[in-house]
Amino acid sequence: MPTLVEAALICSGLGFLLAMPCIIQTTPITMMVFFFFGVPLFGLGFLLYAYWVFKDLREHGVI
Amino acid sequence: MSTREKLLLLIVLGVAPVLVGLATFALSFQRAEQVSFCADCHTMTPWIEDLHNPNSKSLAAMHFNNRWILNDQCYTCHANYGFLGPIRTKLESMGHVARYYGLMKMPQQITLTKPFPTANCLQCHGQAANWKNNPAHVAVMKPILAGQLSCVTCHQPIHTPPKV
Repeated sequence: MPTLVEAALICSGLGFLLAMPCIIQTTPITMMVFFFFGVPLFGLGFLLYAYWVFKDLREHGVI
Repeated sequence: MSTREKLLLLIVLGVAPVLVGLATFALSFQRAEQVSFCADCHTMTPWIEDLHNPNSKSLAAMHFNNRWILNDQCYTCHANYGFLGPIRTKLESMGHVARYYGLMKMPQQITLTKPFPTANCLQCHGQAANWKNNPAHVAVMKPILAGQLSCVTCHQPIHTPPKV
């Protein structure tokens, strides 16, 4: 598996991990941790994946 | 990597985070309206103690103990109404939490950042017959409705937190 995809999966996995405490019991701490770290990690994971897709398409001459 | 694997990745990295994120947003914002959520910050402990004190004569305690407001008592009074009111309140509350965790400067003494809006009281009391027909209110109805005279000018104390 490409390193970029692995990094994207790790970011997304961490995002899910930080969302769980907030879903189970919402406190100011769990909420802030999810909003300030979880959401950006989700975004970063998706961006890394999108970048890998873009690179893959270029390598195959699609774009 | 096969097309199937790529689709699976798209679901795991694109669709699932959006769904989980939206669910967490909705759930946590709804739970953040509960008194127990406000009570989680130690800064609020004196105010919560006052709220739960059956002998307290503060407006907040009477509204809470007599269940004049059934649920989410802090939020019901402190959230501003109107189209953007709840959103603005939630954003401001995130600022409170950021201050609590040291991300922003914490004030020495907690005070309201702006005068308490009369509309927040009138949301419930405004159409009540015993409010509208009360001679004391009738005499000052215009300034009350114009927001020039606040309910809390006459109705005190609002909170009587111990040891503050």
